[in-house]
Amino acid sequence: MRRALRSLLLLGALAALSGWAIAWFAGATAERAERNRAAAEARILRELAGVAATESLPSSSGDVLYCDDSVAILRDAARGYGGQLRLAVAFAADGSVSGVRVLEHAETPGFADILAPDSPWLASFGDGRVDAVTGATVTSEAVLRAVQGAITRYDGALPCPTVGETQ
Amino acid sequence: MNRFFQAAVARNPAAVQLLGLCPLLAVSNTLANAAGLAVASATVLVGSALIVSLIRRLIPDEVRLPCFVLVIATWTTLVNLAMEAYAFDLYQRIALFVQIIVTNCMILARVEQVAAKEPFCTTLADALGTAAGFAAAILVLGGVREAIAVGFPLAALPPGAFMIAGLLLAGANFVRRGRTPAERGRNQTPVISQDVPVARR
Repeated sequence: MRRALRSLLLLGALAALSGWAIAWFAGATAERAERNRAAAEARILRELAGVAATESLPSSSGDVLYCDDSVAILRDAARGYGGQLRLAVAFAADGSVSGVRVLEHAETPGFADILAPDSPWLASFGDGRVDAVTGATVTSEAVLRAVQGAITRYDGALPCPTVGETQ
Repeated sequence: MNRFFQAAVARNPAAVQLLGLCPLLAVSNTLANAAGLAVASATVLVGSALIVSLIRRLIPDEVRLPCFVLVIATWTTLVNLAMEAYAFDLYQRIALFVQIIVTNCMILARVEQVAAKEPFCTTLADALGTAAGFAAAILVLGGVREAIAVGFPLAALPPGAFMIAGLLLAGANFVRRGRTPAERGRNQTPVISQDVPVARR
C-alpha cells in the first residue's frame, strides 16, 4: 500500500512538473511560432502573386488571401490523410487556376513530397490536367477537393471585383 | 572521458547497436536536416538522462518506465516547441521526426541502463558520448547522401538511404573487427548485446 502510494505520488508529481514546464514553454514561444507561421504564409502568397518582398501585402479578408488586377488567391481546406490540409489557390485574370500551394498539412512524410513547393505535381494544376498520385490517393484527392472548392467559390461569389469582371 | 569514447565509438548507437535507425535513415537526406536532428536528439538524450540520474533514487522500480517515458516525452515536446519558435524552416522539414524522438529506443536504452543506475557525472559522459556517436553517424550519412545525390539522385531517396547506410555499416564493421575471422574474434567488443553469433549458437 505504501509502495503503491509512493509510486502514485512520484508519478503524479513528475507529470504535474512536466505539464507545467511544457505549458510554460509553449506560452513563452507561442508568439514567435505564430509570427514564423504568418511569415511563411506571406512568403507563399508573395511567390504565388509575384509580389516583391519589399512590397507589403494587403490584409486578407475572409477566404480571399490576396487580390489585384492580374491574380486572386483564395484559401481552401480539405481533410487529408493525417488531418486538415490548407491550400492557397491562385487564379489568373481569366479565372483559370494559375498556381496551387500548400499552407499547412499533416500528411505522412514521403507521401507529403507531392505537396512540396517545387513539386511538379502541384505545378500540373496550372496546366488544367491533373493525375492523382499512386500511393498517395487520399492526399491527392484532398488537394483536388480543396482546389475544386476554391474554383466553385471563385465562380460563384466573384471574390475580387477587379478580377471577377472577366468571368 | 573514457566513458564518453566508449559510448561514442565502441558502443556507437547507430553503427554498433543499430538503434535509432528510423530517424537516421529518414532525415539524413541533407546535411542540414541531419544536423538539426542530431542537435534535437542530443538535447533530449542529455536532458532526460540528467533528470533521471538526479531523481533515480526517488523512482520506485515498478513505475520506472512510465517515469522515463514521461521525462523523455517532456524534453521532446520542449525541443519541438523550441524549433517551431527559433528554427521554423527546419521545423517544417523535420518536425515529425523530432516528435518521434520520444520513441527512440537509443534514448530509452541509455536512460534505463545508465542514467537510472549511475551517478550524475558518469551519466553525463555517457549521454554526451552517445549523442556524439549518433550525431557522427547521421552527419556522415547525411553528408555522403547529399554529396552523392548530385550525380546519383537515388541517394537522396529512401532506397538510397538503406544502400548507403548498409555500405557505411559494412565499412565500420570492417574497420572495427578486422578482416579475418581470427582477428574478428580478438577485436570483438564485449558490449554488443544483440550480436548474431549468440543467436546462431
